[in-house]
Amino acid sequence: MNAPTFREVYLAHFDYVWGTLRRLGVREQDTQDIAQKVFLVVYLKLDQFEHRATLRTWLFRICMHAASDYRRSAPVRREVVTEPAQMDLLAGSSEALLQRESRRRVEIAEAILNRLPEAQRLVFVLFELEEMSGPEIAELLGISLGTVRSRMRLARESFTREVTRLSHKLETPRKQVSS
Amino acid sequence: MSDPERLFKGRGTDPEVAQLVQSLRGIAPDANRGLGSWASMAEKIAALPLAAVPNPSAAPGAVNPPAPAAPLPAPVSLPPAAPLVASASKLFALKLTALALASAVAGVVFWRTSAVPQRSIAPASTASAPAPRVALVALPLAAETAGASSGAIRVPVSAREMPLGAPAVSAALPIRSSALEAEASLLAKMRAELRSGQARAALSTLNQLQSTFPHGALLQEREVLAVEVLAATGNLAAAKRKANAFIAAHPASPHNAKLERLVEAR
Repeated sequence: MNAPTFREVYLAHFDYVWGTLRRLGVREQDTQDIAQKVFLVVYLKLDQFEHRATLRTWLFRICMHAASDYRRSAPVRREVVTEPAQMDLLAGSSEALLQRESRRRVEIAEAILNRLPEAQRLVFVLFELEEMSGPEIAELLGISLGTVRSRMRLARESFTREVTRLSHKLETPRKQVSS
Repeated sequence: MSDPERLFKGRGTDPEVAQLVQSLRGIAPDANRGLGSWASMAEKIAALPLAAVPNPSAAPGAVNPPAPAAPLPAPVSLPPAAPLVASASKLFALKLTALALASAVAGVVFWRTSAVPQRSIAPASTASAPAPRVALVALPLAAETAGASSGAIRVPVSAREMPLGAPAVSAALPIRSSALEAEASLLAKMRAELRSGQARAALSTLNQLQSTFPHGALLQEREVLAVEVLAATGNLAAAKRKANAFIAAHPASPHNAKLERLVEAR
């Protein structure tokens, strides 16, 4: 089996890397930039990639480091976006454009995700979005299965709690939305 | 104990939760974003700071990597990768390539106009007539190899040619990435100032870089240089702090060994 070329990896997995970075808290406007940083690492290390893990898992690990570097370098900016109270959750809802609606949902979901402590968020993303199993997550993150399970439980609980809290907020619409 | 049911499946969970998780799963860039950004990716790789290429010691026993054309294993859409060995900064990499090609051409012309092709300057191959020609073409590359320092790093020349591998993309999109170029040239300026002993000037270039590109593509490279600049301006405490912060933030960085040496040496 031939090893994939860098270009093949880039084109085949760009969307995956892009989405993963977004799910790990990289803002949309910075994602292109960070995705290319991830691929610089991929470029430099592709020859060292051992097929012990799948390419996707390997990419995820690189994304994880890049996103963590990103958060370290942009803590203030992140704070601004991740505060759901500051987001105009009702903007454009009267238009009810489907696309807009789904975009808004993504924003809400991201804001909730951003509120999780980092360790929990990772487990949440890996389990709920990447659909990795508990043992796989334990191996990837180098933590025990027990830790994975407890973070998973906490993350799922807080995610659900936040959704409830936000939907209560949404039920009392602040009609400050301009027409 | 097995894994719980996933939230997006919505069994036994609030449908709103399921829907929100589902929306996270669906996050994706606009169509063809990857293809559209390939040209700028290739550009970034061409501009890669050589210092960012992994230290051979980082990979156990990889002083001589098994696959010489390693960073671009067996490119299908590209001409055969001829790894060029160079030790200069990334900005010089392309110039070296150009130089090498130029001297190759000059060499061939010289040989062709020379009345005595057998008296080739290529030492190893004088046996047959076509041989000198080949040797002359290959010579500049060989000279680069010989001239490179012991810490030489392999740079795939073909990286520069990548957009050519995707003509449809490069034709449709601007290849130049001027922000990256500006950042890279400031970085090169800072390095040059540092190396020529103008620590103050390097410091002001550093400040300029920090304010213009707070999240630049060459951040790691800059941080490493910043440690050197701080040390050179006599601010050892700050240099140490920065070095330690860098090592903590990038525990696997190939720069770390150098940083540790740098800080310990003073």
